[in-house]
Amino acid sequence: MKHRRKELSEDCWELILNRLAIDDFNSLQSLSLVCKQFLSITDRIRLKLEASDRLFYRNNCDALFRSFQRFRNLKEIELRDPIFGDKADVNYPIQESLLEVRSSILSNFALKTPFTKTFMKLGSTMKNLKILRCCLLECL
Amino acid sequence: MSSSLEKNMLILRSSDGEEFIVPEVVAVMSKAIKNMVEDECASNTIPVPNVDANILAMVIEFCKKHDESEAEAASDLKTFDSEFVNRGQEALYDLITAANFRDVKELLDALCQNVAEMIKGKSVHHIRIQFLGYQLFEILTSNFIWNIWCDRDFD
Repeated sequence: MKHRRKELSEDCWELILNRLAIDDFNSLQSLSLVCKQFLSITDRIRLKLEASDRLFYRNNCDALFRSFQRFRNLKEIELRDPIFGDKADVNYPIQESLLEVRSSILSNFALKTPFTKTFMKLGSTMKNLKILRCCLLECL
Repeated sequence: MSSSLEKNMLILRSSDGEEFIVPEVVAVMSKAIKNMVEDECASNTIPVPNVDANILAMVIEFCKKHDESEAEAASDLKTFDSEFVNRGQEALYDLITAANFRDVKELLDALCQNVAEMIKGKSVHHIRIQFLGYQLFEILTSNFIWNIWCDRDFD
């Protein structure tokens, strides 16, 4: 289906995408949409997700959830300024797919977020969590 | 050929049969060739399959420059690198493949950095067309399927 003039092997693309990831991990988000090969590479090299954009939390964290599904090797997540709807909270994506995460940073949570419940679920679902950094949480 | 010349020079033969006489110090900038020389499994002529004469000449040019200018200012070398990697995409891809295959680290680093900078900030469609050789009609017709598969959210 594709008419490729010249091809680069997957390990060459990995080297190139790695360089982009050094500058900005989140740039891999759109690169993962380019083709299946890029998705598998970004999946492999991507270890940290910074969810600092409002878009991540739109429609009950839809985008955040999809990012977790897309990047399977995440070791570190940072949720910044999350805004959750009435029904959804951060548990929804986390309990599904973040079993391997070792470090997590939560900051600037909105006041309404159900904290105790969230943290209890965090503890029970993210078994490998070694570091949890919370910044600017007004409810604690 | 005198034995003293042979000792310090190696002959690299490209995939299309052309031979290049290069100093050993230059040739061993390729880790793959270095390993062959160290293990003494290389005769004087080292075949470099998968790399044609045109690309091999470029790789040798790069290695020679880096070998000569070790003492020179790093900024000079940087200017040379940026001019060297400023090539058409096909040549770039060939060079990357060759550098990766023969394990020439400096060259590979410079080339990958260049392609990374070319990709930076480009849209998904742009990358597909420019770097992966997709045709426009494929993107238009497969867009619907892509949207479902990727569940696009950001662009």
